[in-house]
Amino acid sequence: MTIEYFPNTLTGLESDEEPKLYSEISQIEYSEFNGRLVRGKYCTPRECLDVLNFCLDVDKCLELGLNPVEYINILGNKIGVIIITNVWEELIRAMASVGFNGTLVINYWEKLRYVPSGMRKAYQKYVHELGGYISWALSMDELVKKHNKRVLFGAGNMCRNYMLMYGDEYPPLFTCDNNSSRWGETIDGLVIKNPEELKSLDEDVAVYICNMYWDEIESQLKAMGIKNPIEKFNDEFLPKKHIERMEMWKGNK
Amino acid sequence: MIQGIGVQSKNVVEDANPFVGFSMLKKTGFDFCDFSLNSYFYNKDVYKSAEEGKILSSFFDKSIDELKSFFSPHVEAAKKGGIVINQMHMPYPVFVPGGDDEVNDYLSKVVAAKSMEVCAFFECPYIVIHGIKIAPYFGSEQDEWDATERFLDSIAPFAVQNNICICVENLYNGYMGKLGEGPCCDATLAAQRIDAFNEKYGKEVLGFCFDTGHANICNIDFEDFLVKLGKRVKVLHVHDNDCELDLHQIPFTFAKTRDNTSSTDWESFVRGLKKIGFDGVLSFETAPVLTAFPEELKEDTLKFIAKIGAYFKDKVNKA
Repeated sequence: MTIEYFPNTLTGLESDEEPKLYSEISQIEYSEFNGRLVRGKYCTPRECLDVLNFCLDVDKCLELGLNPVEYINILGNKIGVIIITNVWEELIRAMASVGFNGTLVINYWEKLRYVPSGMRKAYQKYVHELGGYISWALSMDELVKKHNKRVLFGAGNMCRNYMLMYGDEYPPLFTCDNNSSRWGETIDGLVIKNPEELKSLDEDVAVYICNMYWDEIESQLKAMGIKNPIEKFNDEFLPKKHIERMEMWKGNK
Repeated sequence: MIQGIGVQSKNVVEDANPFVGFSMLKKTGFDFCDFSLNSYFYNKDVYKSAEEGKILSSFFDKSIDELKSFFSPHVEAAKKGGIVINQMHMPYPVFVPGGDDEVNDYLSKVVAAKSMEVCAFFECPYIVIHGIKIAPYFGSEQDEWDATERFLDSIAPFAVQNNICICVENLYNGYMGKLGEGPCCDATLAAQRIDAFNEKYGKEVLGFCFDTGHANICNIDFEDFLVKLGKRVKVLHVHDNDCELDLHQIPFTFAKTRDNTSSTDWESFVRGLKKIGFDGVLSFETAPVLTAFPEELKEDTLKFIAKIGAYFKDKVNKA
């Protein structure tokens, strides 16, 4: 997936009319009736199945009462471009579910216009960091596959979610945690060890940090002299925990 | 040809003396009535029950004989008052995602089954149900329909035996900070599903209730939607809103520009009904209007609603 930012400069914000992005690609169509929008072509995802490259403008979808998640679920990578102005968790999760590999456009043109000119550079930096975070959170499949052997750091929900999503295919050797009262326990079949055990790992074993204090734990590992590859695992947008809930409900009925 | 004009029984017909309410409906210009069975287990109480894990309305604890006895005066009063109950609304929802299992079971099994019995007792040909809203919580729109179909399968055999047509309506749902489409908002898909369901039962046991207010919230093109569903549209919920909230107000109430023209495209509604040759009842789902206006204006308000109905009827029936 690639991320684009609009605008990519801090100029050109004077116009009252927001430029239409990717207008050359098929998008949801609509008309206007007495001050409101009315749905037109491509206003159901199934109607777009024959379109080779679709641009999903999430704000326009919401304005027309359409569910963008449904578009992503049904069209998957037939969508070439997704334009967002807000980071909706369920939307990013849907993108993760289908392994979205198109272009995500973060359109902050409207928001930037209302940022005082002296703060626009800082705002632009924030938006780029946000894009980086989304890109990283959506790259978990590649991140997990990157190393042949791995251990986890952390024995909480993120560890459980790793096991739920990747545990069968990419099993860790063990996990570890700073909480000494948990050493020797197991979590989802993984033994919880003292982080000191990481010092005796073979050099090709990667440590996946399964705790949101990624930077602090990375510093701890470096201070311990760990030379193994260190990766930061993020479960924020993993879809499976929600799929499990669905299965549970189906099973109950 | 449109058969006539109808409105909800809610806020007009009272249990203590249903004849007064039905007579008022007749007097104010209605021949038909959408019986508000849902007001016997109001949806706010349904949600609260599921949340608290205890059933907050004992109404559907009544046996079927008790329910029949309870509603006998209503059936007689409607007949005496010259009002035909052409459609009714089942309490909703029949499943609350994340709600208490026992309450959900009670809703989908006890309340639904008894609602069907009441519908048969009223000799009412159509009962409107809400499809199960689970897409934002558990999965996709298809999962949502699968759940609704399982529910429909549980009540369809009774409907077949008693010549009742169950109607699913286009609903809205909340996601990403806004109201938008919910179950049954894709007309093409709804038509396919209705046909497949009816083929399974060898009878027209499933139909569609077109809700103008919900369609408005979802920016749906009325004419296009109605034409796609065609003869599957059996009943209507006619009401208006500001395109943002489900306000259930009188048609032509809202404008979005200083031109002060209706923001709801009622001409498109008329064209759609005309094109599909709709021959049912123009039924208004405008009970909240009756609490918005003072009690002293209730009859005038009902008359005005009926007049709008007559206007639509005239437009649709005109060759």
